[in-house]
Amino acid sequence: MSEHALALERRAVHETSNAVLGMLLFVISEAMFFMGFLAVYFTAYANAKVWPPSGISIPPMGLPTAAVVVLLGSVATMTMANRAGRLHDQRRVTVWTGATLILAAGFAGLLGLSYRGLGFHASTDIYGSLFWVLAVVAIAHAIGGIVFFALLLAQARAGELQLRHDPLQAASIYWNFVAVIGVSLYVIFYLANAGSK
Amino acid sequence: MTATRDEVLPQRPVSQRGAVLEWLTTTDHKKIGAMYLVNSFLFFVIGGGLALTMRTQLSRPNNHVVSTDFYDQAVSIHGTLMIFLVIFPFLSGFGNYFVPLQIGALDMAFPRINALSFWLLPVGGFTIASGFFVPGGAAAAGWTGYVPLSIRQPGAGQDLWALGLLIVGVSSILGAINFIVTVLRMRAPGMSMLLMPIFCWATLATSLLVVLATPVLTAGLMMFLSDRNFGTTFFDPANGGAVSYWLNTFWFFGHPEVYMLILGAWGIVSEIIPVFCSKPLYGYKGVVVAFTMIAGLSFAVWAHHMFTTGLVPNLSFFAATTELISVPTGVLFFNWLATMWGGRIRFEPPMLFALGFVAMFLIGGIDGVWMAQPAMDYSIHDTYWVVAHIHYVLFGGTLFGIMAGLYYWFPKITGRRLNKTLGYWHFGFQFVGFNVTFFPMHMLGLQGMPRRIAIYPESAGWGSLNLLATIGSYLIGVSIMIFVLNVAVTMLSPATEPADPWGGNSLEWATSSPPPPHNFDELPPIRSSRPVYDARKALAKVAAAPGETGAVS
Repeated sequence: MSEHALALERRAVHETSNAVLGMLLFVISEAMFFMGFLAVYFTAYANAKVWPPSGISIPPMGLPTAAVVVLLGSVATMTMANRAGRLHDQRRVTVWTGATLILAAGFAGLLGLSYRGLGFHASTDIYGSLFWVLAVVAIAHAIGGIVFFALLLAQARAGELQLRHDPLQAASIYWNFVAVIGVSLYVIFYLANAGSK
Repeated sequence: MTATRDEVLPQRPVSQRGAVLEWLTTTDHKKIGAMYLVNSFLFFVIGGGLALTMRTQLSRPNNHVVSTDFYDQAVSIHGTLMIFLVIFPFLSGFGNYFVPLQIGALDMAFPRINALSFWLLPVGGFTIASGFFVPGGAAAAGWTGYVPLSIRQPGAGQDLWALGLLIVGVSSILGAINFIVTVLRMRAPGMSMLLMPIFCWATLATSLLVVLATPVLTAGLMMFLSDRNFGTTFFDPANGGAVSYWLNTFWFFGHPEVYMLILGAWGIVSEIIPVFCSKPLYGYKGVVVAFTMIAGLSFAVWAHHMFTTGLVPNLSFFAATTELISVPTGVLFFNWLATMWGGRIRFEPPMLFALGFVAMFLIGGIDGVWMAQPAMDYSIHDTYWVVAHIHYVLFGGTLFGIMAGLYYWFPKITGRRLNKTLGYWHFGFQFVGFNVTFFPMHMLGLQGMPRRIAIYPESAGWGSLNLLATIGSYLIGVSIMIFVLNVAVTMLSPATEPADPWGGNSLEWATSSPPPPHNFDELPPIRSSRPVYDARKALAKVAAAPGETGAVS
C-alpha cells in the first residue's frame, strides 16, 4: 500500500471518535426502523381511496406547528453547544446545553398536549394506528434526548467536556436525527393532508 | 496507549463469590464471548430437544407421541431459537472473542454495551421459550409468525415470542454497532482494512446487515405487538391495513438475516482452510468483494419468499437478483478449493468440519438456485424441500462451520485441545446423521409432503423416508453427546496448549492460550495478512542459520 493510501486510511480511521461513529451507526439503524413505518404509511396512502381511510378529520395543526418550531430552535441551541465544545468554552457549553434541554422538554410537552382530545383512536383505522404508534415513538425519542442532555449537563458541570468534546457531537447527531424525524412526521401527518377537510 | 489494563487496575485476589460476580459483571470481550458460546450451546440443546420430539412424532404415519398443538409450538420455537438464539449468537460469540484479538485490540470499542448485548440475549431467549408455561402455550405460527394466524392465536405465547424477538433484535443491533466501530477504529498499527483477517471482514459485513435490516423487523414486531394488544389495524385489511405489511417487513429483514447467519461461518472456514493447508487464502481480495456483493445483493431478494402469494408483481426481477447471488457465492467455493489445491492438508477435526461445511453448503446452495425459479418454487413452496434447503444451509452450512470454529479455537479459549479421536467420531456421526436426516427431505418435498404437519396418513407413502430421517436425527443427537463428552474429558485435563498449536496466521495466535486480560504483551509487526506466519518464518530463518545470527538484526 502506498504512503498516500496509508495516510488516507489513517485519516479516515482516526478522525472520528468511537462515540461519534457509534452514534452515527445507531442513527442509521433508527432511520431503518422509521423506514419500516413510513413504507407502511405510503403503501396504505397510495392504496386508499380517501385518506384517512375511515374519513376522520386531520387533527388541528396549531400545537404541532409550535412543537416543530421549538424543536428546530433546540437544534440551533444544540449546534451552539457543540460549537462551544469545540472551542473548549465550558460556560457556553453549559448554557447552550441547558437551553437545549429546556427546549427539548418544551417540544415533548407541546407534543403531549397536541395529542389530547383527538377524535380518533389507534383502533380507528390504519391512519390512527400509525399516528398513535409513531406518537409514542416520537415522545420516547424526545425523552431520550432530555435524558441525554441532562447527562451532558452533569458532564459539563464535572468538567469532563473540557477533555473530550465527542459526547456533544454524538448528542448533536442524535438530536439532528430526531429533528429530521419530527419534521418528517409533521409533514406527513399534518401538512400533506392540510387541504383535505 | 502505553499502559496496559493490568497496570491501570490494581490486581485483587478473587474469592469464589468474587469469581461468580466477576463473570456476571465482566466487560472483558473474551469472557463475554465465552458466555455467548455457552449460552448458544444451551439454547442449541433446547432447540435440538424440540427437533428430536418432532422427528419422533413424524417417524411413523398417524403417530401420536405429542399433540398437534404441541407440535405446532415445537416447530415454531425450534425455528425461532435455532436462528436467533443459536446460530447468530454462536457467530457473535466467536466475533466477540476473536475480532479484538485478530485485529490486535485491547477490547471491543464499547465494552459495557457489549455486556448489555450479551445479557439481553438470555432474557430474550427465555422470554420466547417461556411461552410453553403460559395458558395457550408457546407461539405456534411458525418462526415467520405469519399474520393473521399469529395475530389470532389466543394466549400470551405469541406476545412473548414477539417481545423476546424485539429484545434479541436490540441485542444484535447494539452488538453490530460495536463490531463495526471496533473493526473500523481499533485495529493495531499497520493493519489496514485489506490486511485484516477474513473473519473480521465477515463480521463487518454481517454487522452492516444487522444495522440496516434488523430495525425493520423491530418496526414490524412493534406493529405486531400493538395489533395484538392495543387494537391497532396494521395487518387488518378491514381497516386499511394489509397482511402484506407483515410479509414485507419480516422478509425485508428475513433475507439479509440468512446472510447474517452464514457470513460468519464463511469467515471461520476461510480462516481454517488456509491454516490446515499451509497456504495463504487464495484470492483474499476476491473473498472480500464477494462478501460485500452478497451483503449488498441480499437487500434486493426478499420477495422470493413470497413468489406464491400473488403479491409480487415482478417475479423475474427477484428471481434474477436471487440467481445473481450465486455468482459471488460461487467465487467463495473456488477460493476455498484453490486454497486447498496443492496444499499440504492436515485432516485435523477443525479441517474435517470445514470440509464438511464446504460440501454440505454446496448442496444447500444448489437447492436454493432451484427454488429461486418461480416456476419451480410454485411446486415446492412450503414442502419439505424447503426444510431440506434451510437445514443444508444452516446446519450443514453454518453449524458445521461453528463446530469447525469450536475445534479450531478451543485451545485458544481454554488452553486445552479437544480430543482428536472423539472429534473424528463426533464428525462422523454428525456428517452421516445430518445427511440421513435431511437428504430424504428433498424427496419428501418433491413427493408433496407439506412442512409443519404433525400427522400424515399411511396412504401418502411418506413413512419410510420419514423413519429414515428420524433415525438420522438420533445419530445427530449421538454426535452432540460425543461432543459434550469430548468437552468434559478435555476440560479435566491440564491447560498446556502453546500460544500457536495449529501453526496459525492471525494475531490471536500471537498471545498465550488462554490470552491474558489485556490480550497481548507484545504484538508482532503487521506487514501482511498473516503476521503470525511471518513471525514464525522469521524465527525459523534465524534458527536455521545459527552462525549468522550476528548478521541478522
